[in-house]
Amino acid sequence: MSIYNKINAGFSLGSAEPITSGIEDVVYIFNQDDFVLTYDTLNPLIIKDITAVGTAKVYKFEGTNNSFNTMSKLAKTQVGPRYTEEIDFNIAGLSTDVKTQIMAMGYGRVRAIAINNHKDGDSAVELFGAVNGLIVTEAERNAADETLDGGYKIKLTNPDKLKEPYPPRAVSIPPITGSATYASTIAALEELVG
Amino acid sequence: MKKYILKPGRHQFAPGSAAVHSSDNLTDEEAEWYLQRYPHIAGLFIAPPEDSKSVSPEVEKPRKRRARRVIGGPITKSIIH
Repeated sequence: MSIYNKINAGFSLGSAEPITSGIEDVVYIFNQDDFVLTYDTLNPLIIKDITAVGTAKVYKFEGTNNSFNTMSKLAKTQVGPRYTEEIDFNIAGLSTDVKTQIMAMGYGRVRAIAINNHKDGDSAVELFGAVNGLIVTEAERNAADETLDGGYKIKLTNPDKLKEPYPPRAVSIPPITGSATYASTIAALEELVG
Repeated sequence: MKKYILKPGRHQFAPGSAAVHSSDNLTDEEAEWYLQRYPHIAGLFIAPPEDSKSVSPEVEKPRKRRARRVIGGPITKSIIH
């Protein structure tokens, strides 16, 4: 992006790829220090590869009933636009294993990958916390809550006073040859899952 | 010549994906890569690779000889007087 402050394309509304709201009920989370990201040489908004440091793994948190959500919002600053990110998800479980993971996400920084319901284009799979990572800022369990039936409601956000310099990055991992597709990206991600 | 040819149309490889895969944009190397990760897509190809592999060695196999049926036990020399 050599010309960073000039727009160079417009957008025409069509019926070929109508935008769709929501994300799938799955979020991939991994420790920030455990994986290195390879960005597209021409476009820093695209991640072309995710490589594990050592034997690190990506962890998959599954939900149901369209209960996960992501949000990215521009925050104007004196040095240019920055972005705040939020991921809301839940864990329908109650055990020390669950509590351990939630505690760890409150201390250490993680990155998270969500899969949009809108799968046309190259941003079907998005990564949050690319530069500064994310931490748990809300982990609430209300035993009497009928909405979650006693499960954990969790929110991942940027750490205090930190924002992301880019909108959520598109994860677009190509197969061994050829161009990246949704299928090749998901296959590459699943290979990293522990 | 291409080894892996997709059936006409555009196909999904992963559930929920946009239908973007067609024979025009899929090389043999890519097809093999996808087949390893998504075995269910074998049916989307004109000649599913599994079938062609399983058929070819059997064609070359020589036919088994039929075992001779022996009726009435061992043949004994008949003595003609």
